[in-house]
Amino acid sequence: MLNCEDVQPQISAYLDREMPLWKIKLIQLHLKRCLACAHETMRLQQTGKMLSRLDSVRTSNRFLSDVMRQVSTISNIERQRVSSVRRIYRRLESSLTWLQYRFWTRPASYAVGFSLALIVTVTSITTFYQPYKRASLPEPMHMLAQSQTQESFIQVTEIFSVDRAAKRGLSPKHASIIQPNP
Amino acid sequence: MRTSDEELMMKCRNGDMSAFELLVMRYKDVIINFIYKSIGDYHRAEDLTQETFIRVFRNSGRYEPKSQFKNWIYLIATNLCRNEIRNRKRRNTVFFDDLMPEDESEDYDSLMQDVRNLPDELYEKKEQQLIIQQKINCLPENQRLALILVTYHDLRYEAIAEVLDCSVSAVKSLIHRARQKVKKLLVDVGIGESSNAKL
Repeated sequence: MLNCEDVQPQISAYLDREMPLWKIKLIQLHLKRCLACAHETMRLQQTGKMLSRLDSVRTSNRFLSDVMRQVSTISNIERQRVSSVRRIYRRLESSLTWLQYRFWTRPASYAVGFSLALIVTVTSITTFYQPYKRASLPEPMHMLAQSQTQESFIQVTEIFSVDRAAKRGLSPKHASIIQPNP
Repeated sequence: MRTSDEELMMKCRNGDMSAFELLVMRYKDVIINFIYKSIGDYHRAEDLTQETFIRVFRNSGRYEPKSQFKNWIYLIATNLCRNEIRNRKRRNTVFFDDLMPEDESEDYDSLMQDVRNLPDELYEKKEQQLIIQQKINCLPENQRLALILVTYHDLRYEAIAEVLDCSVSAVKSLIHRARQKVKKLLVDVGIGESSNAKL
């Protein structure tokens, strides 16, 4: 159970509901039994009500234009003073802070977006990237063509050699020693 | 969808003047009320409100979006109020300007439309407001600021602790002491005695 010494310093917090519910209940229980504390609570509540009677004020009509004029003057002076490199740095810095803020305020949506982007990227790479189609003449075809060229070259060489050997009156078995013309 | 103050402030950091203008429109009346109730001088309050917004613009690069913009602007306004209160105390001058702003007549007009606000009652109400404002001005600096923030701006104790740069328990005790002191001061001048009489 709370006693008056515990309750009285907490009356303001109780009136502002700035305490856990269990504590509010305890204080309510005490106020039902203690007339002095209930009296003090009522007086403080009434003081609060009286304070809230003060009318609110408004800024004058030219306030906004005055502020904007001053701010634009400051902005122009700063623009002249600060170098362009510094300005770019500032812009980058603020963009980074902004991204951090967005990620901090909406981490779930950003995590989902990032995962989706990653999935799309990986899928598109695996679907469309085919290394053997990369060159104008693919690697196996190129090799095949090379081998076919070599074979036909040998055949042509042999024909030429036999033909030359016949022209010189030699037998075809000597054809291999006759080199074809370049 | 309403753009949050923090988003507007980040745009302002990138030099977006329209975002800053929107922030000024949102907060100008809130800040002038806070400063006016803290120092009790309308014209000086308007100057300090202007100064608050200029400081917001100048320090926009230092603003961290992790803390609420509302608390940050209150912090700037609080520092200006503190300086003003200290300067006045040093000069030992009391500028208790008229309670009404420039558009005083408009306020009276709106009140006069209500038949319940008869001239005598109206006068009494204004007189009471003047006394209440005077009594608030009698409070020590931190008690006054904490009481104004909780009574007129509905700030939670945690936010007030951030603005006044102290602990939540300190705020709790500041507000309680401020209320007790105002209650005593008002009873001394004959306001708020009726409740005592009833009890």
